[in-house]
This record gives sequence, C-alpha cells and structure tokens, in this order.
Amino acid sequence: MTGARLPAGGRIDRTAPLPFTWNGRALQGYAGDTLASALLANGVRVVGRSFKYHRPRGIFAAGVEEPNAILDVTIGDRHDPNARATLVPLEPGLAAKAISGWPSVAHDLYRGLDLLQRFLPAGFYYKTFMAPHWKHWEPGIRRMAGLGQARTTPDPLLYEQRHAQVDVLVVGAGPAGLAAARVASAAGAAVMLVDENPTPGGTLLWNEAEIDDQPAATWAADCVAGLVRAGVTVLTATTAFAYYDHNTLGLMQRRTPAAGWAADRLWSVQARQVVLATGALERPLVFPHNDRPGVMLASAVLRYLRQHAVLVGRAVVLTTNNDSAYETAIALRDAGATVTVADVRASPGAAATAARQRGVRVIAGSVVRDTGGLDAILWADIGPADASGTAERVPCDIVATAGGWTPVVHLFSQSGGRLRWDEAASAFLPEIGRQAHQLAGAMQGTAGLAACLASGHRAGIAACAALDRPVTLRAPRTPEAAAPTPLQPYWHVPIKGARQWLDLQNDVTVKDVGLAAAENFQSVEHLKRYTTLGMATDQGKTSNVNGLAVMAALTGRGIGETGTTTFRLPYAPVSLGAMAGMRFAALHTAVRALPAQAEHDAAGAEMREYGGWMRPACYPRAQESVAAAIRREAAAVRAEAGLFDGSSLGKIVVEGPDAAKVLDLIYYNAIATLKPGRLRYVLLLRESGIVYDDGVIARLSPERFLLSPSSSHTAGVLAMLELWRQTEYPALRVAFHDVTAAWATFAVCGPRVRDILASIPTDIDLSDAALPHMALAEGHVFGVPARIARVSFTGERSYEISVPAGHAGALWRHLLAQGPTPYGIESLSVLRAEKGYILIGTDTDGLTMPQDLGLSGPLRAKTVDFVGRRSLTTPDGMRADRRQFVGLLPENPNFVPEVGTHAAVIEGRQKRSLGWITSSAFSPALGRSIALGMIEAGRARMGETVTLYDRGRLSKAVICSPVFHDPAGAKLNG
Amino acid sequence: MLTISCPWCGPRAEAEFSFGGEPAIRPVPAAAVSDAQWADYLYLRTNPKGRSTELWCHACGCGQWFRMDRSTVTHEIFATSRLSA
Amino acid sequence: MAEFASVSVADQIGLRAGDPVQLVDPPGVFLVTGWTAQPPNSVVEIEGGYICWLAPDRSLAVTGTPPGGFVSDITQGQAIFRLAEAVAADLLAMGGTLPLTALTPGLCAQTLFAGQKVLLYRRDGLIHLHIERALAAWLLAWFRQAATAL
Repeated sequence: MTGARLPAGGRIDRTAPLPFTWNGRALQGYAGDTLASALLANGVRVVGRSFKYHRPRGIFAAGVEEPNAILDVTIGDRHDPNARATLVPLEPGLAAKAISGWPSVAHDLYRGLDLLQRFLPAGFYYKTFMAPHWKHWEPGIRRMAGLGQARTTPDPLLYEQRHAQVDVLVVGAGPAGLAAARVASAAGAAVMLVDENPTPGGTLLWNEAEIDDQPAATWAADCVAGLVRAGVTVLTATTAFAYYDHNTLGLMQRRTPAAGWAADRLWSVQARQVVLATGALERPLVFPHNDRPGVMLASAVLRYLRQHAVLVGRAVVLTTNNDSAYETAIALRDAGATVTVADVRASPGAAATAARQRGVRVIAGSVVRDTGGLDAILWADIGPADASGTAERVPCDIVATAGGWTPVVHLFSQSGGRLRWDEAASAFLPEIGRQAHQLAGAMQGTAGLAACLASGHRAGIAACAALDRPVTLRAPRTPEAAAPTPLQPYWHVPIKGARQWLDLQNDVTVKDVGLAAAENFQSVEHLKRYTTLGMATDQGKTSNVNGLAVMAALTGRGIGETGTTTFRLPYAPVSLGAMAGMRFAALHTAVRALPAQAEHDAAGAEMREYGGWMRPACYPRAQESVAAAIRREAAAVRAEAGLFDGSSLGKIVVEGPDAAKVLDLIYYNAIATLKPGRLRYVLLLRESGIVYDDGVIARLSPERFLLSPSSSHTAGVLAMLELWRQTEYPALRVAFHDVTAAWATFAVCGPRVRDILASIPTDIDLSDAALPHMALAEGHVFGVPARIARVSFTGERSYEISVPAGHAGALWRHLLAQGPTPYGIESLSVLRAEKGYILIGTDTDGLTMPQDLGLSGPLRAKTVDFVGRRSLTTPDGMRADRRQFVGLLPENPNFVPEVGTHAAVIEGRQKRSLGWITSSAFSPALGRSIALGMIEAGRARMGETVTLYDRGRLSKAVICSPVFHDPAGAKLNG
Repeated sequence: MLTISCPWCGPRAEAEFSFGGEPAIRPVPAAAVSDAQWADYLYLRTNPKGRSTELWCHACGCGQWFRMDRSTVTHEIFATSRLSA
Repeated sequence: MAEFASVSVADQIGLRAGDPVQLVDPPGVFLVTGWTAQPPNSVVEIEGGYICWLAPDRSLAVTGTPPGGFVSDITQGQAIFRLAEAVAADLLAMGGTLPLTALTPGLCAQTLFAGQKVLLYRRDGLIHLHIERALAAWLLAWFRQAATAL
C-alpha cells in the first residue's frame, strides 16, 4: 500500500495542518481528517497484529465497523486505550500507538505463531489449556493477544450524563436521516439528530450526485445548518448504542477538547418517535489471504478518496459481486490509479460498461483467488469465480473487496423488532417492529440515493403523523440512477487449503466455521462462542453475515433458517467513565451529614458511614487507637457521663384521630394503652413474622405520636406505614410526617448526668416524678422548642434532648463544655451489648421472630390482627428448637470471638452447630470479653458449655443471660 | 427504562417507582385462617407470562400506591389506576 | 447564652460568589395533611406564602404561619436551593429525567434528582429545589461538580 494525499479535493482544510505522532514518529494531517485517513495519507500500512496468529493488519474500513485499527490514543489528558482510528477526529498533538505486537507492531516476535496456524484451530485454547485450569494460562494468552492498557492513575477527566425528552429522535445523519429530520423540524417537533461520525452527512460526504441542484455534500451541510437554526439538537461523534424499552435510547457522545475538561457524555433520550436511519455497512467478499494490509472495503477506499483526498494505492484490484464497486473503480481511475475489477457476475451490465469506457479493466465471472506480499500487497491472482481454470497474477498494492451491503439493524433488533432474511437484498431486513419508530434508508434494504432520500422523507412524515403534526414539505430531489444489475450472492472462493478470513478481529477463518460445523456447534449462538466469530469490540459488523452464509452452506440450510445471533447492546463500545458519569469519589454515594458535623470534626471524631449517615465511630485522642478510644469512651459513660449524637435516629410523627388504632394494627406491641407523655419500646414485623425494625414510640398527645425507628430503617418504616394505610386501611384518618432531619437529638447519660442537665435553662420539669424512665416532655431549652426523653440504650440514666436542627451545634458545644465524654457508635455498641440490647440486622436476621428475642408478651396481650401476627403461630413459628437470643461468656476472658463464630455441641461423635455469635466485645465494665448470639433453644441451655469455632480456632464459652451489666436495671434510675 | 404513568403525576421515569408485586387479599380474621391459606397469601403468586396486574408505588414522587396493568413479556403498560378507582 | 442562636443551613454550607446555585432559608416549611383540596403537583398561593400539593391529602406549606390540618414544622429539616434559569435546564438534564419544561408556574413535582428525592417548582424566575437538610451539603458538592460542565 502506498497511500498518499492528493494535491486537491476532499473535505479537509489544507490551511490547517495538524501535527500528530504514530508510534512516536511525527506525522501531519489536516483538519477534517480522521486518525485513520491521516495514517493512510502518510503511507502507514501496518496498524496492528491479529489476535491469534499475530499477522500484520492494516486499516480495513472507514467507519464504526473497522476491525483492525484499534489504537491507543492520547490527546493531552485524554487517553483511550482502544480507540477506533476511523472514528477519531484528528486533533493537534494527538499521539497514537499500536496496542499489539511485541516489541513493536512492525517487528512482532510473536508472528512465528502464524507458522503454527495448522495447530491453532477454533477452540484450540479451550481444548489445550485445560489443566490445571484456564485461569493459569489466560493472563499470558491475553497479553499476547494485545489490547490497550488502561491507565492506572486516576482519570483527570470529568464525565457526565444527560437526560433528554424529544418528539423525534433521528438516528443517522445520512441522506435518509437528514430527509427525515428536515420534515420533523418543519412540522415544529422537538427533534434530535445524532450521527456517529465527526461530520454529519453520511454517504453524502463522498457522493458526487446533486440534490436540489447542489452538490450532495453542500446540500447536507446546508441542511444541517438549517436544522440547527431551527432548534434541532444535532449531536455528532455520537453513537446511539442502545434501544431500550419505551422508546428510550442510550447515546454516547465522544467530545473534543473544544469542550474543555469534559470527556465522553452519556445520554438517555426518551423519544415519542424514533427514526432509524442507521444505514448499511459493506461486507467483504472472502478470498484466500484476504487479511493482508492493503485489503480494504471498496466503499472505504472511495470514502478516503473523496472525503479525505487520500489515494490509498496506485494499482488497485477490486473484487465484487455487485454494482457498488464500480463507483470506487471509476473514482480511482479518475484519480490516476490503474484499476482492475474482478466481477463474480458473468454479465456485469451497464455499470461495468461505463467503467470500461473510463479505462477500468473488468474481468467478468472472476474473483480474486489469492494475494501475495508480507506487510503489503504485491499482487492478486484473478481467476474464474468457480475456482476452475487458472488465475492471472495482477500486480497491485490494494485489493478492494465488495460483497454487498449489510443493513445496520442492531438498534431495530434491540428494540424488540423481528428480522427476516431477504434473498433479493441478500441481507437480514426488519420485518416487524415493536416500538414507536419509523425505518428509513439503507437499514431497511433501500438502495440508491434517490430512494433513500424518499424513504427518509416518508419516515419523517409518518413520525409527524403519529405525533398529530401534519406537515407538507417538498421532498429533496436527485436524479434517478439507472437500475443496477442485481447482486450475485457469493461468499467465499470455493478453494480448500488456503486460509480465508471471515472475522479479521478474531482471526476466524472459513476453515474454523467448518470445524464448528463438524463438531456440531451448528447453532449460530454456539458457532459464535466456539469460534469467537463476531465477538469482541466490532461484534462482527463486517463478518457475521459471511460466517452465517458459510455455516448455512455447510449444514444445507438457508441463511434465514440458520438465523442470526442476538444483537445485544451496546452497538459500539461505550467508555466506562461515561457510564459512571459523576458517580465517583465523594459523589459516588450520597451521604447524610449530621447537623453538628462541624462539632464532631472539631472533637476529632473518626467519621464513618452508618446506614447512609456519616456518624462518629468514636473520638480517638492523639496517638490513641480506635480500639483504645472505644474502651475509654465506654468506661467513661459508666463511670462519669457521656454525650452521644443520635440525630440520625428516625423521627416520624403519626397524627390523627385513628393514629393509635393504626399503630396497633401495624406494630407488634400494644400502642393504644400507652399514656400521653410515655414511651414504649416496640418491634415492627413483616407480614412473615420476621422482625423488621425496633424503636421507641412516644405518645405526645392522645392523637399524636412520635416514632423513632432505627437510623437506616426510617425510610423503610415510613414506606411500610404508607403501604398499610393506603392499601389496607384507607378509611382510617391518620398522617405520617418524616421530621427526622428537622431535629437534632443528643443523649447525655451516666452517673453524673444530672449535673449536666442542671446547666440547661429549660421550662421542662426534669424531676423523676415528672419525667421518669420511659417518659417524654415537650417544652423549651435555651428558649427554643425542645423535647426531652428518658430513654436509654446504654443502661445508664439517660436523657435525649431534641432541638430544631439549626441549633444542633450550639447545644452540642454547651453540653460538651459540661464535661461529658463524647462517645461514638462503636462505643455505644459495646455499652448496649453489655446490657443485652439487640441491634436489628446485627443480632437478628431474616429468620428472627419476636419470641426468639424473648418478647412474646404482645402476642398474648393484644387482640388485633397486627402485621405478621398469624405467622408467629405457624408450625415453624412455634418450633421448640428455634434459635434464641442469649449471651455467651468465653472461657478465656481476654478472647473476643469474631461475629459469625459458630457455637457447637458434640452429639455422639458428631459436632453440631447450635447457632452463632452475632455481637462480641471486650467489656470495660466487666473487664472481660462478652458475646451475644442466636442459639438453638438457647434459653433452655443456660449454663451449658459450647465449643466456639472461629476460623479453625477452638475455644469454649458458657451460655448465659444476654444482660451482662446491671441486670436489675438499677442504674437506669441511678 | 420504562415510562410509567402515575395516576396522580402523569408519565415519569421508572426509577421513581417501586414495585409491590401482585396484590394479595389479606385473609381476615387471620386467626381463623389455616396455615396453608396463610402461606398462600404470603408467598404464592401467579407470576403470569403476559398480562399482569400489579401494585406499584410512586415512591420518589407523590408516594401513592396504584394498580398497573402491564405485559411481563413486552413491558407494554396497558393502564394504571388509583386504588380508589 | 448568645451563642444559642438559630443557625441556618445556608450559614453552615458555604457558597462561593458567582455560584449559579443559591441556598436559602425559607420563613417556614410545614408538612400538612388532612385536607383534600387540590390535585397533587399544583402550587397554590396563600397569604404570606404558598402551598405545594405533594399528594392527594398531603401538602407542603412554605409560609410564616402554618395552615390548619395535621401540621409538622420541618423548616429545619429542609434546604431550598434556587437555580438560575440560565443553568436550570442543563442541571436538571444532568440530575434527573424531569425536564425544565415540565415546571410551568403553578406546578410542582417531586422527582429523583442526583439520585435523591426532591421537590421542584418554578417561582420568581428561579427553579426551587427542596431537599432533606442532611443531604444539602452533598447536593451542593454535586452542583459544584456539575456546574463545571456548563
């Protein structure tokens, strides 16, 4: 291949030269080039090594279907390890390098593998590298195959995502798409037009026909400009990669540095009508040694010539089975190349005659039967298409191949549409669509510019009609071309022996498909996975139909009967950064901030996430470990006083004449009997009887309650209350208001707590007579509205003071100044374990019922059908061997068994697990380790010794009451 | 991404909704129900292939539960209606 | 005890000059239930403020004086962001699926924005966004990041 830039022509800006590098070599292209066209213009031939045989490969196509030119591209901060060179607009400073070949793509030491090709058939890796396990071999094989290396440093770019709603989304800005968008825009619809190429226009960019008496490319540019003026959103370099349910499409927009820091943008677009004008991709004729650098699609050769003014070779052989190659042949001839066309058809017709008149040599009834050369094409053998007779060796530097057109039905198929094989078009065409879309142009088998324009126009009108937007607009006009001579189906040269490549990206040959057929991998889905035909980043855009045709012939079936593999999303690769969008680092997950966060930070808190809230785990002092801080804080609470931020605890106001009735119907515990001003510890069950949440309910007044679910369950409890209210008890008058974030709540507790309370100016009577344990009063502190509740999760005398969230910082600072030790969640967890207070989801699991926790009173006392009640009396609920909540004292007082440690007994010669440890800690109050657990029939086993299994280590523990500290509860009022 | 028409708020993205499954009639009084009937109510659903009536909640919108008639095969939504309707 | 003064969300969460997003303290925000007056998603003017109807029997009153019904004061539980008209369309498109065009005056909408439940409406030429106070700092960080894309 001796690619070179022509002195004139093309849609490039010769006044804007752009320097770039290829494998470190400085080259130059122009604005309007793609990386692929610039490489070709500079005579670059080999751009990669094939996956399996490490054969040299060159640029094959000019668009998204490119199988070979997958390159590592860096532009400033942007890095794409697997960029498709045909879709990368050339930019100044772009640095491209090959991703395969070692030590370099030009001198690949692995190329010796090609000599072993006889021993590398389809399925070779699966069959060979089985022992000891594929995973031992995989890394080396993958490295040899070669793919881009992702960078290991953080990506400095910022990705984003957008949502859009439009009336009409037109996919593809070729002739059909532009014609459709034009109509929809004229009808006043909100239109979005997307095209995967950097410049809109599709084939119009290299078509020399005239539309409305203008050159096609000029018409396209004017049309796009008009659409933009009319408010149409035109997205270029944007691939519609997915067609989801309900007419939602996924787009990936590749952005250029004009957008500054921004990288790829992912769009989710909901369209009332979609126009699919996705065009068609040329597929190659397959012949021996058709993978050499210099074998290219005929349409790509034309496109590089007309769009980029790149003559890819001086002596070109074209092998074809249809008329489309003749436009390429004539254009090459006019540019000064010698051109030979091998046409499979015995009577090629008018197009061939026209080409001959222009000086193109046409050999009817023939095909390219072999090529020669190592890193470049030197000759092609042309001989009869039926492989008979002898071949003529024609010197050349390019072999262009034209095997017909494969409509891009990927999006249509993803949308649920059904395909059928059309013999006349020799293609899978849309048959039945399922979503609100119109089809236009080559994707539905329409051939020729005039027909595509008309088809797009009709699709636009149909979309507008579906939207009740009647429109009259003259269709774009172009001279009708002469009727083409029909394509003659021809898939590969019927010669055995020499390798004929179907899939260039995966090194799959005709022989491999034969092996798959012989080994009975005949279903297309099996064929794909066994041979890797149509896998990887190009998903077989140029190879699928050829592969199916080969399999069909081998198995004596039609191509339609053989069928096609599922067209899964994405149509083309989508960058992971775009999928993540802004969801990384601090924005990855939304976390709730406590209203006194600044105070916790000032106190040196170790902040961790608990149930979506950032909360203090503990407050380590300088040089103090977390474990030491927890022990210090827990001990200080028992000995002196502690201060805890409980602001994240849920607060749901339940209000209305039927509030008590509804709570009685939903909660496990009796609520109606609760007196105003008093609190009750309550459980909430699922209908299955499983404990979902615990919490405290306060009755503020006869018709007003305040519910405190656990922090991470507030939203869930609220949703559950609403579900029951709306679906089961709609007649009851009750309202639920989540006021969690409106209030800050601090717990002060410990033997010294009354001194601290005395410092707070309040109108609330804090005497034990007025405010006993499990009571609540409303009033003011420091003149602001406040609630004070006597409730304890530590076992110490405890007061929870709640004020509007905006006062959180001031109240915290005041309380802290009185000397209590601030303690965090981890310290609280130790304190509550000493008291045997359960943590839902820690000590309980998806099987725990209230009776397992020793709380069976309400079942006897209540008469209403509260949620989950019936499940408690099922045979399973009443089994005697249910696991029950107990305490465990390890024999070794300094050994803290891990949560999850099994507790077993020996029965005969068998060890049997009775359950496991759910919480464990070193208790500063007891000066020893303690544990809580769920043990089979545990309450009947008090005093029994069990064997603990902690990851292979054995130890002993004694089952005991879960209340280790102050079992009488004297300190609650101490 | 489905577009679901909330009977109160109109068409919204699927992400705003939560799924409540096929409605089950709660047997009352529960004490009079056999274990088998209760298990039926708790766990057994018809799970049809095709047209299905389900409860959905516009959880991140108006918070209202409603009925939805849809196809579990094509994801076509035939109708949504208020529980009071 | 001079220190014990009300501190607003806006005071706690700093905004830089020139941010297209403002954070404001409302005079009062009240969750109200017990009426059945207006369809959900409508905004009704009342003396000294307005009421956003969140559900058939639930509304949010933004006013100095709460109306009747079952009322809970959540003034300190919510933060209100106001987005300039010029940036609102882009920010809404980045944050969620509800388009700016859905927010005509007199209408409000609860939706998912940046993955969080929010209330949106247009008022005085600005897009108002209510979010739970505890998430305000996180959402502000989100806005700052998003604004760099505008």
